[in-house]
Amino acid sequence: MQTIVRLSLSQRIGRLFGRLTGRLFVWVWVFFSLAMLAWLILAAFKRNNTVFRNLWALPDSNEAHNFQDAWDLLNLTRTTLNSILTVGGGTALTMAVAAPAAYALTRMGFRGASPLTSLFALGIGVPVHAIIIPLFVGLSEVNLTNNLWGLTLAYMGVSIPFAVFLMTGFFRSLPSELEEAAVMEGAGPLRVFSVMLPLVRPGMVASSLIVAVGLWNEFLLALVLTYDESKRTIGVGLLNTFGAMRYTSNWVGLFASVVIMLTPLIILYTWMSRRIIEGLTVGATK
Amino acid sequence: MASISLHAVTKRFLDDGPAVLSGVDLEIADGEFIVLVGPSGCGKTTLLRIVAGLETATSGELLIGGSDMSHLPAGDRNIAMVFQNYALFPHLTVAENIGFGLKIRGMPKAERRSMVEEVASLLGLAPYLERRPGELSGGQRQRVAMGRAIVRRPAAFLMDEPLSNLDAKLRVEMRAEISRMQRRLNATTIYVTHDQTEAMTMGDRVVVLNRGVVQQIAPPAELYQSPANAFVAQFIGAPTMNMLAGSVSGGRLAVGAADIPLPDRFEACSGPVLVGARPEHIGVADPGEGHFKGRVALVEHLGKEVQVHFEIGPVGDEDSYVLVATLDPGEVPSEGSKASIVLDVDHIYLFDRDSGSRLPAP
Repeated sequence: MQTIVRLSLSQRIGRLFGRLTGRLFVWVWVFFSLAMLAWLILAAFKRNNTVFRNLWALPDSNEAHNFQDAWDLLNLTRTTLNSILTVGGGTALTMAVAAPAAYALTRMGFRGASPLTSLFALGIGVPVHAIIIPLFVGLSEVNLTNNLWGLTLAYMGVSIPFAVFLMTGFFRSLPSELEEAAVMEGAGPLRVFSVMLPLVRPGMVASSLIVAVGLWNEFLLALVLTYDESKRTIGVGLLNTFGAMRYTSNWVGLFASVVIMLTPLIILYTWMSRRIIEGLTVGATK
Repeated sequence: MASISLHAVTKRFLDDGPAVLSGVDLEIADGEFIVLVGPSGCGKTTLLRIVAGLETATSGELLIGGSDMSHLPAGDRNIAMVFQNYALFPHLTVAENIGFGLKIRGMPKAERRSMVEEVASLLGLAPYLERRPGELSGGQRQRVAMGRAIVRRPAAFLMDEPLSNLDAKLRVEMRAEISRMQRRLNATTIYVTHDQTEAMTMGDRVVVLNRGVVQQIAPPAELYQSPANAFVAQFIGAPTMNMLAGSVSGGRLAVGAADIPLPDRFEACSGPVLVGARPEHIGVADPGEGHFKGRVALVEHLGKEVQVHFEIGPVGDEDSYVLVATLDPGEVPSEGSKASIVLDVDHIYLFDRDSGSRLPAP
């Protein structure tokens, strides 16, 4: 039987106030973020001598060449390619390990699966700063520092806990009858996994996107584990631009660089935001 | 197809936990349609899963086609199963779903396609072969699940409440279709349901389970006419059999204030009993006659017959009880009126009040 709870007037006012405060906070946050993004894009089209004169004024001339300058300044052809290789490779390797790991942890019912899942979840909380020295030492032992393969492996290592954690939710939500039906038809463990994998495609997409976005923005590992200009990723390249800008005062070039770096992320988020939200809320409701 | 034998099968999910199944013995002949029926938690699905190989029996033996399969993995038993929610692979087409098992067995594509098409036309699925399960109705999905089971010609079919997700009309249609298909293929089938109508209409024999123990194995008519105990008597039949506490002495049955002479077949009975009377064996007598006096508490019109609930004893008294009768629409008393109620003693059942077993033993 449904119980109807009647709230007093003060309780209702309290709830309304809480809801309005929450919404106000979200909208202020959204407005602030969009305003910063808009300002950044505007600034990237301005001239160095006018950029700080009237902060919200529209560009008085077309300075689209700022982007070409930034591209050259950042050596963007090289750094973008390095980022695509390491982020793409790191994401693909992460998913190649995380999907079967999450499947095994949730569906194969072996002893120790539960504590092992918790261990993966704990791994999300380990800061990169805490492991960067052992990681550097380990990779240098196998000659993988200043090497894109080494950085890719490091990216995989730091991304796996989160990807496994997210994928376990997806695998757990699948009905066991599907697995049993495959088993009854004579499928072995690998074949059963291959049947179940397409069913968690939304989870694979969401996990891949979140991991890729995180790695695209990654800075510390790329800074420490690579040191040749030819091995730099776009994040480290941006730092170099910032360093150079202190001497050249090329602010608009810096802003254009930031816009270039953000553009793939904004496109990805706009395109895939529903998938990402689905990925983060799976299991929250039935 | 093959025979299936279960010998003393017991299942406990925890070593020191209660037995979910206790010493189940069952012989299923080649081509027979067996229905496992019982209330929720009685162990019927667990028994089916043990035959499938999805659960392992704690003890006991399972033979399929005379070979011991107790420890063989599910995929090696050559058994097909239709699940309650169909368990179709949503990313595969109907053709791929039906041919899934054949593909795993490495059958060449052309041969596989031909077998899938044959089964699809048998089940009326030919126009839907390239569709995915999400684009099909509940009944069509059910047929795809059947097709996946049929296509590789397994030793036996196992069906776990396959109609429970369908609406009432479709369920009746599919019930008949499964029965026809089973007879046509002469397929050994174990069918689990909690719906006694399915049990009574589909099975060659019905196994009634309660708390992990087989209560009776018999053809549907025998189960209805000659229940082995009070549980089976009450579980089979709708509306359920009326059950009253009474005692037998000197060939007479005392139930409350009623003193009823018993037929000769009960002459060996004595002591406290449960008296079972099906609703169709309870009638209305002329005023002043009959075995009980009661009040008409509820009248339910079902079209060709009427169910009448008689309340016997003072209204609201904890010792009062209800008798349900199935009457012809022409002889229905009005609600709230007084009535004399008569039992058809030639058709009543007596059960031991402690063990619930039938008296005299059938």
